Amino acid sequence: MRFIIFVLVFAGFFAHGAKPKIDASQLVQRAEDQMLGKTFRGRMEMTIERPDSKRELEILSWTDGRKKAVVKVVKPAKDKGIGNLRNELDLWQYLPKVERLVKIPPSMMLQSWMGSDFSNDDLVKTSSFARDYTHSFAGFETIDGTKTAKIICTPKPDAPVVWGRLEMWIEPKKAYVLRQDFYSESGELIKRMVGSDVKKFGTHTIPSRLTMTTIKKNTSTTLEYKEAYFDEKPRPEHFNQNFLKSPVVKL
Amino acid sequence: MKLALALFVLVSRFASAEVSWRQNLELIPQYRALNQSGFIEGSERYELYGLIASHLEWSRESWFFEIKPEIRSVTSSGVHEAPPFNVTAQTSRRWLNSRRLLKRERDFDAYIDLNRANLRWTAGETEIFAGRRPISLGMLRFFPVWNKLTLPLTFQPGPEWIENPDGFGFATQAGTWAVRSFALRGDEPEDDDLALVEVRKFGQGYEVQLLGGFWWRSSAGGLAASFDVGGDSLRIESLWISRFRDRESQVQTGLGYESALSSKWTLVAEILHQSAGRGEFHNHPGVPNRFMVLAGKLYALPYLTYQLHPLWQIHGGILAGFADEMSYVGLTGFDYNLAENTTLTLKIKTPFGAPHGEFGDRRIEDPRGFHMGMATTAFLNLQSVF
Repeated sequence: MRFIIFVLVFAGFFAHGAKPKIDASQLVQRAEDQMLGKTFRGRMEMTIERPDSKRELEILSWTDGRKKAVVKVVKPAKDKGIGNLRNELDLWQYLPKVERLVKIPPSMMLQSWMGSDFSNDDLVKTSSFARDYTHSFAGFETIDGTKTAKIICTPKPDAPVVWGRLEMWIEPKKAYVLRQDFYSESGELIKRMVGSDVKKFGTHTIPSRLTMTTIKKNTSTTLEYKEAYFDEKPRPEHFNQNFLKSPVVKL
Repeated sequence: MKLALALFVLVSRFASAEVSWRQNLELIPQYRALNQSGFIEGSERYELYGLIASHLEWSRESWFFEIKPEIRSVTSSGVHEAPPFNVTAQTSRRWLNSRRLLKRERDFDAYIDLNRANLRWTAGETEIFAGRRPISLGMLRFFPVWNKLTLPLTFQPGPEWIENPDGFGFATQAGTWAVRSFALRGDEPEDDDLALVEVRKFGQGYEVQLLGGFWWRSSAGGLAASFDVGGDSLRIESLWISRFRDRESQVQTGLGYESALSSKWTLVAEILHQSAGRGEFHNHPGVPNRFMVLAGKLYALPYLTYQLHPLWQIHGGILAGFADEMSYVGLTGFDYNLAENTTLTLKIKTPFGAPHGEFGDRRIEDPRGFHMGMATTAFLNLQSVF
C-alpha cells in the first residue's frame, strides 16, 4: 500500500513539474492563421498618439493568404484614397492627388506607414513569422490573467525580414498573440505590440486592439478592428492596380 | 434634346448614389529674390497664392462621377507677373476651356476653373472613363520623361499645382499584364491632342512598361522599367519623339535610384539626358517647352528625405545642370502635419554655381550692362482638407 502511495505521489510530482509539450512552430503558424485567415477583409481605426498630438485614420484592408494585400485610407479627408498594394514581395503606393502609382523599394518595408508606429511591413505583411523564422518555446507566462506560451523567433538565413529577433506571447488554446517584442539585429528592443480586447470575428478569435509602441520614443499607435471577415471566397479583382486606384472605397 | 436626355440619364443614375464632399484650402505666401538688374523694376517680389476647391464624388454600383471646381488667386507686390494659372506642369491646352476670370486688378488675379470633372464605369478589373482627371505616366519621381501631364515639378518656382487634361480612355488588368489607353483632346486639334497606349508587365521584383502613340503632333514611343536590386529600386524611363516641322526627333532618357538608407532616411537620385537639350546657356534664354520642361542636355538630382518626427519630414536635394558652365538649384524644405487635416510645407529653391550657367545669376546680359538670372524663391504652403 505504502509502495502504491509512493508511486502515485512520485508520478504526480513529475506530472506537475514536467514542461507540457508545445510545438513552437506549429503554434506560431496557428497564430498567424488566426490573425490573417485564408482571406481577410476589415475596417480598422488607427490612432497615432504623440506627446503633443493625436491623429486618427480609418483604413480598409483586404488580404488573400500571405501573398496579396491591399490597404486603403478612408479618413481623414486629407489622406482619403492613399493606399498600398502588395503582390508577393512587390509593393506599390498610390497617391490619389495625381493618380500616381509608384513601385516602392523593398528596403522601405521598415519605414513608418503614414507616420504611425506600424511599418509598411506590419501593414501589408510581407514577411511571415511562421515561414521566415525558426521558433523555440521559452516557457509559459501570464499576461493580464491569461496563460501564454512565450516563443522566440530567430530569422532564417536569407529570409526577407527586417528584425534580428522576435518574442511572441501566444495564448496556446486559441492561438492569438497577446504581446510581441521586436528586436534589432544588435539585440536592442525597438518596438512592442500588445493585443487586448479579445473578440471573436466569425471563427477567428483575435485581440481587436493592437497597440504598437516604439520603445525609445515612447510613442504608440493603436489599431482597432471595427469589422473583420475571415475565410471568405477569394476576390482576385481586389488585388490589382485598378482596385487600388479606384476612388470608391467600400469594404 | 440629346444633351437633356444625357443629363436625365446621368441624374437618374446618380439619384440614389453615395455622395462624399471635401473642401480644400491652400494659402501660399511666396518670396522671390530676383537675380536681375535693369530689365524690370525692383529686386524682390512677394506673392500670396490662394486656392479654394470643393471636391464632390458620387458613386453607385459600377458608376462614379466627380467634379472639383476651384478658385485660384494671386496677389503680387508691385508689378503683376505671376498669374495663378502658371502651374508647374505644362500640360495641353484643354478641350473644355472652363477657366473664367473672376477679378483682375493691377496686383490681383482670381479665376474659377474645374480641376476634375469625369465619369467612370468599372467592372471587375476594367475601367472606362471620360472627362477631366489626372493622367500620370512613368516611374521617375522628379524628371518628367513620360509624365509630362501631371508630375509636379519640384524644381520650378511657384506652387506645385497641376492642371488635369480632358479625354477618355480605358484600363484593364489581366493577371500580371495591364493595358491602359487614352485619348486627350486639346484646345487646338492635333497641336494639343494626344493618344497613347501603355502596356505594363509585373513580375517578381520588376515592372516593365511600354508606351506608344501620338503626342502633340509627333509620334512617340518609350520603354520604362523598375527593378529591385538588393532591396533598392533602379528605374529607367526613355521616350522617343518623332520629328515635326522644324523640331528634330529626339530621345529623352531618365535613370533613377531609390533606397531607404534606414527607417528614417530615404535617398532618390535621378539623371536626365535630353538629346534636343542645350549644351550651353550663356546669353541664351533656353526657353523650356511642353516636351522639355528643362531646356538643357544633362541633369542630375540627388534628393534626401529624413523623417525627423512622425509629424515632421525634412528634405533637401540639388538639381545640377551639366551645361558648359555647371550650375545648380538647391532644393530644401519640410512637411509638417500641423493637424489631422492640415499640412504645412516649406520649399526653398536657391540657384548657385557659374554666373552664366542655366541657373546662374547673370544668364542673360545685354550691352547696357543689364543682366538676368534665375530667382531665389521660398514659399510656405498651408493646406487644409476637411
